[in-house]
Amino acid sequence: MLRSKCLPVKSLTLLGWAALLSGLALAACRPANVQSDGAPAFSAQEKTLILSLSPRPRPPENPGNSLADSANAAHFGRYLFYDTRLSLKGDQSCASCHHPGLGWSDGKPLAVGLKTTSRNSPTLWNVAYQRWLFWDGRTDSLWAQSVQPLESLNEMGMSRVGLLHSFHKHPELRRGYEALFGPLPSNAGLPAQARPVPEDPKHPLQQSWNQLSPQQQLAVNRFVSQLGKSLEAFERQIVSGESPFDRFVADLRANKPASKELSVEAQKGLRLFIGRAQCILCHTGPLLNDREFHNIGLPKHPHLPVDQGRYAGLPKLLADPFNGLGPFSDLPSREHEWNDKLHYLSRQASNKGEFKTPGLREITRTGPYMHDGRFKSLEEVLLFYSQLPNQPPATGRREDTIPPLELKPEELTYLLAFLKALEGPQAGPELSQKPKDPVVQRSPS
Amino acid sequence: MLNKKITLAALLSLSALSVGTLLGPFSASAQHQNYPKVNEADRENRSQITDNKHYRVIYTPLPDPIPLNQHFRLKLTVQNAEGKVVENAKLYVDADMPSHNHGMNVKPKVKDLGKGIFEVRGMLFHMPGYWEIYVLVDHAGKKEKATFGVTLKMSPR
Ligand code: HEC
Ligand code: HEC
Ligand SMILES: [Cu+2]
Repeated sequence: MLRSKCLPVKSLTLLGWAALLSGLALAACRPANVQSDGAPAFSAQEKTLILSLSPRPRPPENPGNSLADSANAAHFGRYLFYDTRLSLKGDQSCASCHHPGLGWSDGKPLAVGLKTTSRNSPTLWNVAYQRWLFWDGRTDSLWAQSVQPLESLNEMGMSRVGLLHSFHKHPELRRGYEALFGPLPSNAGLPAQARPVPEDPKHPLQQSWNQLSPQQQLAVNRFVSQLGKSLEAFERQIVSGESPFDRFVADLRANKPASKELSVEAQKGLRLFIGRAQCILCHTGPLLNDREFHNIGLPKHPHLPVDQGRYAGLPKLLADPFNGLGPFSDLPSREHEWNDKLHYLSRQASNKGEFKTPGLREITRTGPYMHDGRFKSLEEVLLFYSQLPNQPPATGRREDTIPPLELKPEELTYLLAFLKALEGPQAGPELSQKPKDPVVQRSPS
Repeated sequence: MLNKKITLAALLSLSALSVGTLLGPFSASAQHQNYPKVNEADRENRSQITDNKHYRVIYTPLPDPIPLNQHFRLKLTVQNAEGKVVENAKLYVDADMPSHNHGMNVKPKVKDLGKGIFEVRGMLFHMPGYWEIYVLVDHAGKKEKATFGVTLKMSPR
């Protein structure tokens, strides 16, 4: 019903798409819902949907981390984020795969740490808004999440006991820690590396971990969760600034006519996004994601084993000792409403092949796309939604809300123009550089 | 933040842009196909009679209206045909988006508060559009079903 009857109907070909990209313009006549410059005249209904997408609110609180909004913790977290001493070989930091200049990702299809992993590095732009972390949502908070890359044998390869030794060895790390958390726990008599390995009880790291007394294990776990809480305080600051789309919405909200903040193409793309293409069903709200999981029916990846996504993530989430029900969360009680998301979870067959809906702010900066980085460009992503491959989904069932859209070449350019308008300013040095000192320097007053 | 009072006069129910039109025939999720169909006139009614007409079920959401993508609760009242409180019933509650062919990602818990009042915790509607809430009343050897329709709208920020 929002479709203009005046555009020539062409079946989509790669060639046609390319021709359009190279600037071929199409003539169109003017239906009632279009303004004189060709931009959509948004109806009251469309306007309601558009206003639901902007402005970006403040990130939700995380009462499970009492330092989530502490500036001092965020400073130390930033120091840690860029510190390669947190990796086994001393050559990697979080920023290796979440680089501010690469959209807080790494520009690679699959992340490469000590080994090549089986997933794409997600952006950290606006990560504080996520309800679940990782593509499969196997942790429930940023601080709980951060323990895994530190210890993954494919990523940074450290262990929580190894980290404690590093903090004893390097005076700056120790000073930064102690300024926030008090005396560093003792490392006397601990093995060089040790951590739990839930998937392999015979693993040497697990065997070493078994040598620790329950009190020692508790102290080490608390220590590594405190590093996570500092990292989270920093990551919570990685939020998008104002994009052309936000300025356009502000104009629309104020009923300013003929906003120049979005090109006519981008406005047409917006109309598709909330209308015929139905992207807004999952890319909902001001971050353009619903923070939940869907199976969009990507076919099997040629080189990777089948990934069950959320279906495999759920049991890990519930078994994670760092989740909101565990002893390291700062929630005042396990019954706190923040834990509702854990109390009522259910694992269903439909979770097979579901992945977390990515946000679309800054999307131009964060390619390659999808959980396995299979699409190099946004054009490829849009072609997927437009045509849908002939092959069946890698696993599970493609949701009914993903029909082949059969977008016309010009419609693909419109959607692309809209996605490009979701880009705000780059992160400033207060986020993108490692601080010189792990502790905030107070200016003399 | 998403459950703000709706300020614009004309609000779009997403069903107006229904995906159904792209998908062809309506297909209810198999699990709930024996539940009564909601008739169009009664669609958003918060009070429904069960299929065999022995019970009336009334619900109120908390918060009201149901917020998009946030946990909410339901208060359910079960009465008999004469409008009298029904004690010692067992209730089962679930919800689907029939036109999208999926349910909720959560499993709500029902608590009997006595006097025919039940509290359902842990409901979450993660997508905008048309949902159906299914209630099974298990009482005095009878198992009867009721269906409620709810359209979840997106509201301006
Ligand atoms: C070797 C590359 C690599 C390194 C190093 C790395 N990450 Fe990641 N990160 C990834 C990959 C890949 C994923 C997705 C993994 C998955 O979903 O299974 C990820 C996921 C995340 C997520 C979840 C984002 C979301 O939206 O779900 C956060 C947050 C994150 N990393 C933070 C960190 C922090 C903090 C560090 C340092 C302690 C770090 N990462 C180190 C590759 C890396
Ligand atoms: C049924 C829910 C759903 C709908 C509808 C939907 N998406 Fe997505 N989108 C997802 C999910 C889930 C992923 C991640 C899938 C994966 O990695 O396996 C995704 C991935 C993407 C990505 C890649 C993001 C990244 O960081 O890798 C883009 C871009 C995107 N979608 C745009 C769109 C557009 C444009 C539309 C409308 C044409 C749309 N989506 C419709 C759920 C949806
Ligand atoms: Cu749905």
